[in-house]
Amino acid sequence: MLSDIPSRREFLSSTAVAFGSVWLAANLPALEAAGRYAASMAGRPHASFDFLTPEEAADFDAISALIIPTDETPGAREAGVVHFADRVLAPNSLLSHMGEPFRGSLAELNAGVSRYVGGSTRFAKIPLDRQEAALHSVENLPGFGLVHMLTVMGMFCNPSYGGNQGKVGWALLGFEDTYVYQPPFGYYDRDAHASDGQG
Amino acid sequence: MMVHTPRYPTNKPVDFVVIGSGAAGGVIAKELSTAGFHVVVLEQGPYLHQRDFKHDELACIFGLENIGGPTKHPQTFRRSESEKAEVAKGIPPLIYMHAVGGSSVHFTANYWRFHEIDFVERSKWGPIAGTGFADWPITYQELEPYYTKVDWEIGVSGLAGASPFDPPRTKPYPVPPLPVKSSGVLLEQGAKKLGLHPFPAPMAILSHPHNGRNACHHCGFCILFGCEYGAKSSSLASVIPVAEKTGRCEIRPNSTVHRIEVDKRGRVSQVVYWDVDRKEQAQRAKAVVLCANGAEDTRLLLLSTSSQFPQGLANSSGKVGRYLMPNGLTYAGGLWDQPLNEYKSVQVTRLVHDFYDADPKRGFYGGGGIDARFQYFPILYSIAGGGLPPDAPLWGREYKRMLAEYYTRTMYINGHTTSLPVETNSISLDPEVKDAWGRPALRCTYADHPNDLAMMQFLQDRGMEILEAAGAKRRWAYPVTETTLIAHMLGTCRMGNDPRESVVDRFHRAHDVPNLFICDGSSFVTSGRGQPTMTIQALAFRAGEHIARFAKRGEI
Repeated sequence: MLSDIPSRREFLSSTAVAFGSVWLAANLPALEAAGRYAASMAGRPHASFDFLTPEEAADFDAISALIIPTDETPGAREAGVVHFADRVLAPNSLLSHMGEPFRGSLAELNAGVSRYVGGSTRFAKIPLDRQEAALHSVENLPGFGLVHMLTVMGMFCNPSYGGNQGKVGWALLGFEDTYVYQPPFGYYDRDAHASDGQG
Repeated sequence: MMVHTPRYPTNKPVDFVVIGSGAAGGVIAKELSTAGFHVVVLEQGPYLHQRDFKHDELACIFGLENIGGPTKHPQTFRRSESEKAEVAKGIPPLIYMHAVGGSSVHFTANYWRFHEIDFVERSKWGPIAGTGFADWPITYQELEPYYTKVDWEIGVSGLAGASPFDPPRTKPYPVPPLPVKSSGVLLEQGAKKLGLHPFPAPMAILSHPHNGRNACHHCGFCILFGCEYGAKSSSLASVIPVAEKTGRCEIRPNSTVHRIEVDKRGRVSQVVYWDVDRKEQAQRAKAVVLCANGAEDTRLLLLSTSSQFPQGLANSSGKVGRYLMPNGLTYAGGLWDQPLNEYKSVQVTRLVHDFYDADPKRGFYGGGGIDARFQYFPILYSIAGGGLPPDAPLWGREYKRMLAEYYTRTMYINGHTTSLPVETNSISLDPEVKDAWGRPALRCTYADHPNDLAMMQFLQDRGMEILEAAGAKRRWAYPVTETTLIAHMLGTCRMGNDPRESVVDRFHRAHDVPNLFICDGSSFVTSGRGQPTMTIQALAFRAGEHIARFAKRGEI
């Protein structure tokens, strides 16, 4: 009977509960590392965050590092997306109108992962090796859109906003920021400019 | 060079108040002031200069810095008149720049002339049920001298005679086309294999110095950005300096007009606005030229009710705000092995006009143009619905890998298409939502006509064929969807000979008000094929000349 098959969400929830303790045991070192990071964020003087709470900062750090991970090249974490977001979402900043919606989006994702693991939690508290699966479980929620957008903004904005530190985002894309170029611009127009005179 | 610009007192009537300083308003101000008239231009946005323009994607695109900001200028949108319009979140449905020079400051600068057929298409094609499809009251031949003025006074780069489909012209372009980009080379190769006729895109961006202005430095930040070199031929860079140099034209920025008042005879007498300190001011005027775009024109006319004009000023026909035509836009993407680096230089260098004319064999009405372009800055490219193929992952290692591979190796073939004039597609006053000044928010009601969607699909398919012929290693089509973002606010105060069916006459004079003229994209009777600004400015040069003549003869 079709009705006997649990929904995907129920299935994921029940397995999450069943295996929760196993995860915890297997991921204790990683969890401790994540916990230390969260604590270090939380331990900052309050003035160092203009908008995000330390918990929100830790959650956004975890999610954005999954969106643009650090591998052979720098990712969202190296670009400084958390501090970028904290800065541009603060009152009277460029994107302050997105501040409360962003906060709501993080809360929505945290509620989603809580359903996923079957108990109240936050993204930063999910063991590292389960975070990808956790993000998959919430990637279709509306709130993921804004969290994704802030990650991308922090990765690729002008470094003056505190993101794209060291221009790591632009280096990833192959975007040069000299803003004055001469032809040929690319491979396929390399032979096209002979008749342009001075271009 | 310092120019002495006048400061006119508000209580003494000036010859003309021009409302809006964009593509049309800038030209009208230049034409009237050089003809010897005293002109005040009221512009709601600030007076920015070349030095103010920056390559800051976050501020200009996502901070909505140039388009009025999200909190001060809310807009609402709905698909049909039976729905309640919802406040748009994020990028508003009607996009236009709030600054001296208007949207000509941040446009892409594609400057196709309309073809002869655009003005007489209703006669050639026949009626289309459920639409206000009509001929223009003027022809291409009447407008041609003014297109030539745009080429030379505004500054357009291009190659005369390069397209077999181009309408007749009396003079070549003042400067040659901009250097071709990889996307232009590939479009040319693909289109020629298919027997099409690609040609260099006419652009209102200078390839060489002209009229004392700089040539393009190929920074690539054209669409949605102001040009720091003055190479983009905005009103700000081209005609407004000429107007100010006469010593008879005052540009008054940060002036938000909310009412046009009439005297007992039903003639416009003054324009009421809030100044930079939100203090109400009233500038008296002998005549008014409204050039504030098809959305703002509409709001202002509908707010300017009086006992003589209970439906709004110049609206005895009930057509103010009706027949909104935004043009359709399609995207087909292609990936190549080697870098194209399309983020460099102007967005477009080659076009195809083989599908410009409507063809009954297609089974529906519509026409359009194709260009190769890339209009993605780093953030815009990487967001959901940005420049990656629609099936690309949105996060993780593969997302990151694709960003690195695709950003410099992608180009798009865009289709730009007709929109039919449908009376229920409109701009109106939102009954509930107010802006920061307490004015009703702009409400947009829009649904594409089925023929518009069919034409979009048709050009989308042609774009995919061109990408294949050009040797793309991978191709993808963004699905054709209904239009919800509108940069071309055309048709809302349409021009015509019949006062029951149109708002202005063939010289842009309001049928109902002898000293009120309306000239901008709102005057359009049909939509053209997606690049309206060249025609807006040709209309403005023509209107300016006729309005000056009427004034000199005492006929206003």
